Amino acid sequence: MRGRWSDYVIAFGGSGREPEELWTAAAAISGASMYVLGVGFDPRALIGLRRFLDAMVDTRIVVGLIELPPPTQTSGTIATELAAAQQAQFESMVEDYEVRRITHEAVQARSNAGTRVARVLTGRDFLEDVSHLVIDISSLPASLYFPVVAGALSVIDRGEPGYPHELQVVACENAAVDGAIRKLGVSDAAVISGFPASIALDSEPNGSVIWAPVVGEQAGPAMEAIHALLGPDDVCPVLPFPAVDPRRPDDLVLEHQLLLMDTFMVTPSNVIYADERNPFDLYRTLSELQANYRLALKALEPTEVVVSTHSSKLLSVGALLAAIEHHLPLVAAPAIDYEVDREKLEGSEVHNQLTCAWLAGMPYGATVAAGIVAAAVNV
Amino acid sequence: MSEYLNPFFARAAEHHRDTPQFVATFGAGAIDMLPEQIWDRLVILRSTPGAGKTSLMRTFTVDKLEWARTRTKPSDGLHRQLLERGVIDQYGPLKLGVLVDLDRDYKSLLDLPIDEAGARRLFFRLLDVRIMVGIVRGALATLGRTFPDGLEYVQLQAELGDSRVEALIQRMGGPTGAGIVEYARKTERAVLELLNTLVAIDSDMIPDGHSELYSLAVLADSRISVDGKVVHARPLLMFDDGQALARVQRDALLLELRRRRPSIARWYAERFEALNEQELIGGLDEGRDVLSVNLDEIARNGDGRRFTKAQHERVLADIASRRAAAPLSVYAGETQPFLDLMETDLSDEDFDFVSIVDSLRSRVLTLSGDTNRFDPWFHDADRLSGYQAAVRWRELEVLIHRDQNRQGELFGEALSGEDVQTRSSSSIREAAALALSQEYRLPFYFGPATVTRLGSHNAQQFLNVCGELFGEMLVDVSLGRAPRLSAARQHRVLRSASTKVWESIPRTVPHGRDIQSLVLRIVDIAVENSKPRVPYPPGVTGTALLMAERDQLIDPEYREKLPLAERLYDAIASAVAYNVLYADLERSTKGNRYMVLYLNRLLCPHFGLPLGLGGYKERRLAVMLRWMGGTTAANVRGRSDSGVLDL
Repeated sequence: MRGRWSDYVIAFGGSGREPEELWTAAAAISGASMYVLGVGFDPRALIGLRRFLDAMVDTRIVVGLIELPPPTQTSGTIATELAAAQQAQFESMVEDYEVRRITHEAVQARSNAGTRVARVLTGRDFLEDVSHLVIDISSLPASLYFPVVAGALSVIDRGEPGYPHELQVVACENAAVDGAIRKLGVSDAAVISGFPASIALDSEPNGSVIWAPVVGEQAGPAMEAIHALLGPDDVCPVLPFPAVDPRRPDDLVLEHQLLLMDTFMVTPSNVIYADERNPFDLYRTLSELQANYRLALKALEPTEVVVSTHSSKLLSVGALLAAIEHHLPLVAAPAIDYEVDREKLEGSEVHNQLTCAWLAGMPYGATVAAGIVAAAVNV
Repeated sequence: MSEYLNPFFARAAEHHRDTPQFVATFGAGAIDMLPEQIWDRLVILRSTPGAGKTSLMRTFTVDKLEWARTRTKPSDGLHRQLLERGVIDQYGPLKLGVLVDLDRDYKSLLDLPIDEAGARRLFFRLLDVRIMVGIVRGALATLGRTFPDGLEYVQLQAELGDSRVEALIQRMGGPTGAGIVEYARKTERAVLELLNTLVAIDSDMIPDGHSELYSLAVLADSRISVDGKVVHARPLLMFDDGQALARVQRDALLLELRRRRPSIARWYAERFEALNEQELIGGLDEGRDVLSVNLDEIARNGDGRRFTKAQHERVLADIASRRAAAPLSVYAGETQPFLDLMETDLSDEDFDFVSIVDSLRSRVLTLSGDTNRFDPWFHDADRLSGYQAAVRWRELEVLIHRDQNRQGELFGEALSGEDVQTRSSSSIREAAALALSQEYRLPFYFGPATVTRLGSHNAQQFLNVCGELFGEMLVDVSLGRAPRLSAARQHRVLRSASTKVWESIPRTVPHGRDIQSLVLRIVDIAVENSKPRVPYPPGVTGTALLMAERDQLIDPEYREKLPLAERLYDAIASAVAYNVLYADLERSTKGNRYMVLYLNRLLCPHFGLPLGLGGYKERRLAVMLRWMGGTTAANVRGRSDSGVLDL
């Protein structure tokens, strides 16, 4: 079975594999390029934008800003100072560019924040004249960028004139920065709006629930909350392997041993692995997982495979693609606040790795809607 | 990877899917926490998370009732309780228990582009269809059918041909079960689509709502039948996790539920909040219309009638035994109840009590001076040996300090052995044992009573503590030894469990860093007040705020002026809601009324504090405001009591 992204285009970052090549290729066949990002305290927020502005000097650029709420007092002064400094830096970087803003508005249910932003972003006014859309998820929470990317993809797939036709997603990975940001508190687990789950329907028969958490550091409280929400029949944790740090999967198992083995009763055969650097590997793995489970449990239908991500941004993109293609619910229990360790941040920028995945447009030819990929390049 | 399952950590039993396991491990004594009048008025259950309110309600759902009725003996606790309460009889369940989880998509409705009234109508409609689907599922279950098979055989018929009820049944897709479920499916799908659409919402997409909860009117005055057989069980609607609703939704729901409908039992459960006027629901008459049940309070102090003060400990012990019985039997051939495997004394072989007692004895004799006033006490203590003797001498040291502080008795007459009993107490003995353990590095946190106390009257917390101990037992099991835990091993495991909870606060509880600040200041108060004569036995483990100042803190205008007040408000509210602190409202002391905040007992071992509630020291609001801020990972690390034995 071939999926939409069985062949794919990605620039992993690093020498000779820089995202600039993909940006300029997409811009060459487009009108204006829009670079969408959020600017919070995460020091990776502006890495992609800076390089984009430097690389695309001959292109009409529009910057789309998804405004984020300021860090709370609980997050501490470091997060507040970082956010203010980055905001100031952003304003000076975009002085000469058109900026379209999606203002932050409080929502009753946190899981609705992403759909609200997605509805604004996919509006005709916001995307006017834009044919090349780049979404930088480096500083955005999953509950925001999941619906935003899915919404962008859905308007591109409709192929209506006046909407973008090229979609790229950018993420700046840096394990050192991840290690410097501590998650504080955990929200109630909820299905992310935009990725509906039939388990939310009492009027449907009860089926089997299979849960695939993409395991990451500090994810214990979130996984526990999600497990309580889903009450899954089977748990298939995803571990990053191969990984830049080869010990990482072992360390993750050690960190979450009690939860995974004793509480969730995961059997070793249920553990699945995905390349930490390649979102399309996880996409492929989850696609197979859901197909296998649905086939095996056909007699017990409906079978719902639910995904949650607690690891790197790149792996989240893989989960997102599988969710979009196979209509899998995405569940999250995000942290409430974050605490930044400034000492750990110092000098960490050398580890920044900017990755760009091309999700829709030229490489996939005109027949994307039929699910057949015409061309693909692995940069 | 362990090949042994830890029954206290495995979550399957908590989940509704595993009915046999749920029924087998439920502590039936918890049903006694419910008052008598639970069928004819709105019952509001409040507690902190993990106190067991969801499990309690889940016991009354149709599938659990039917399982308990048919698969347990009439002599079993749960079966007997259900019979006594009139929930089942020999023919089937008499209550059609439906659990409605409010922690779902209801709050999201307020994010739709509709006005508040429209959102309320949609809320009622969504709730209505889920109540009705629950009733249809329950009705099928009473007759042994599984949803969705046989939906067409379910019928709803208005009693006495009431035309209004008939119209409402029609409106909700009735009278057949199939029609009701189809209407529910349309409603749920329409709402789900609205909430999940990634493009702009067209207001035509928004379905009409219900002006009130139609399901209540329908269920109050209609008869349900399946395949022509009337379902005699009467509806019991149990709404769980009310705190997940927006305040306007919660109040609207409670106003609907308060209406007297004797034929429908209505329970509503929500998390207890210390800084919220939860009890204020306009127009409700406490007692006649509504009955509030604070499960935490009943667990701690009993209800003064059916549920006695110590009964909760027995319920917890029962739950532990039920959970552990099968694994202990299979893994180790062990038949003793789980808590009985915790040793309760310190062995002379492991600790040099002879020299400890000698040293204490000579110190006490020196303290008493030349008087023979305490001789009867000393003779009594000399009859003891080992750990008991050491504790007694340490207790006498406290009593003598206290005696010397008493004015006018300095040269009093000799005291009798009975005076030890009257002047001492279990709290003083606990303080003495703790001081002894800190001075001579002896285990202190051990024994079944300690394990249940560390549960802090919270079933989930208790299960976690038991899980840690069971994990330690599995070491013995793996080595082929009998799974018994010495006092020293229990102490080590329980201290470690306490530290884990303390360290997890920032990760698991909103406003965790500020809560840690609060806790550390309470610990500081405890240390300041730990004196030789133990003025607040067994020690201070709490603080208190004047109720008047609590009201000030609740006032949003006050908090707006002072950012630290907002942080204190959030910290206290979150700490109580997540069971880090236990709040006792309206406590009278020295002519004033206070909100007392006690530490969760499971935090006490980390700081080397006693487990008895003991005393508290009042602090003004201005002082508490200064406590906020400044707590970081760096300065919290290492804050524990170094005097307590780290084994």
